[in-house]
Amino acid sequence: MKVIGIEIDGARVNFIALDSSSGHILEALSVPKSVELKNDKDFGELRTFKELLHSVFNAFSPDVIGIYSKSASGKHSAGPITYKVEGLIQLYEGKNMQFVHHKSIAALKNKKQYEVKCKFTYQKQAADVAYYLLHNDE
Amino acid sequence: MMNDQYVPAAIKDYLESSSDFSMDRYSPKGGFGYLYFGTRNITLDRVALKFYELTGGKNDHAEPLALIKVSNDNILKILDARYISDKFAFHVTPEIDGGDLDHYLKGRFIHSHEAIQIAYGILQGLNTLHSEPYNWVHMDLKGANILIDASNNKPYIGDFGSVKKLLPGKDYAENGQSTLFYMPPELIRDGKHYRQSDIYQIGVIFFQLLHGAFPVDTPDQWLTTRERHKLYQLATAESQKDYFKQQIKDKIVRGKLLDLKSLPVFVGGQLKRILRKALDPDYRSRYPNCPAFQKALYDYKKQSKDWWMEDPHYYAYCKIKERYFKLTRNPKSVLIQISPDQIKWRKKEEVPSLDIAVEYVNAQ
Repeated sequence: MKVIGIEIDGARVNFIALDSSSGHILEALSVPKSVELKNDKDFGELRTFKELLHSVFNAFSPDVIGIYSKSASGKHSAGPITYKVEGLIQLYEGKNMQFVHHKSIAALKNKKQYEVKCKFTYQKQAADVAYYLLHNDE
Repeated sequence: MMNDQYVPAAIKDYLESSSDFSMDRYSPKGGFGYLYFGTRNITLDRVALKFYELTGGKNDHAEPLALIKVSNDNILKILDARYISDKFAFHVTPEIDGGDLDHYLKGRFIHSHEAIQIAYGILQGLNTLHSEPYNWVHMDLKGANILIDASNNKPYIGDFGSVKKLLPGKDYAENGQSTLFYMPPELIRDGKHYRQSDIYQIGVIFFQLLHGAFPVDTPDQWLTTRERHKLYQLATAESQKDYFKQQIKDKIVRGKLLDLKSLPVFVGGQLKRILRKALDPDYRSRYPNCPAFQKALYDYKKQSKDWWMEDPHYYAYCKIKERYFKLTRNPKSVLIQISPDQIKWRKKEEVPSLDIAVEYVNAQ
């Protein structure tokens, strides 16, 4: 199974792409680790940014794409740019896409006791999502 | 007069008798086929008709079959395909008004951001070919196979005659035919064409877009004085041709064909690094896939100024500050002026060289 885990941190999208089809979980190193939108008021940049995100998805061709779900209110809630970026990701067609809540991740980790690995700390939440997708499918 | 005297009579007869199309132009750039441009008589849209000879083999319709399967904004769409006899068939695609990239670049100075946008668009189309379910390599990406919509600089990959599917478990295709100046080093060395070989070819196109020296019309300029001397000493045209090809291939393998020093002064270190990575003689050191190349271009573009040249001036535009810069070379200095609208210019600085002026503007 091939999955992409995504966390949106403001205008920055952090990725991790995992492939478990060989029996081991391997990170696809050719997939960019993060992409950042600089000017969300620039239509041209917004379109290019969307194309880049979708290009990443096309190139890896995952079975599932998971997005770390952030709450709409409270101290750690997502800002307006996060929602804009989230919308651009959701426009991607043809693949199963789902939101993954941190409570679901915690519950599954508790139940299955699996290890989450990622190269960079900023990928942590994206990795949580990707490992959740893989282990939840078992 | 369409200069189509070498086109088989069967094709010309078909066009003459057809009530569907009115052709007004023939192009010798049809590769292994015969390429006409004109209008569809019912819908009145401009179209390109590519005729090709049928050999009875399974690859006869490879190009239209490939085009019909792929759906991407940067890949030419096929509108129709027909037989005209048991010897010839043709397919119909829209005519793209800017023509091919080689033609489009002649006498035109593409802005640096336009160059990036065009390369980005080609990568966008190529990524679809490289990805599931196609797993194709194009193998012959070059200026003549990229069509440009002149209204928005949108590129289309326009020739699928060379496309090959990667077999399961293999990351390369063999027996590919590429155009000499675009041949990836690994194809020359080992006869293998990887996805990264397509990336290399886009690197060459990007180099052309940025106005690096690419003397296709005066080919001996690719050679050094010594090599030219040796070339002219060879007795026959055939041996000269072989020698020339071999020299070019040697340069490609050594990563010495394209001279990054020939790029305009505003193509700075970061953009050159992107080019070097795309053109690395070792395919494993190139961008591993299209999105990685696209990301590098995207990251560069969003924080850089848009540069262009209108002889004798260099211009730059800063999108964030909505400000234009004009660089004028004087005998002993370079004058830097700024303007909000390219009409009212005021002096900003005077520096000793063009390099310093570019650096100054980029730091603004």
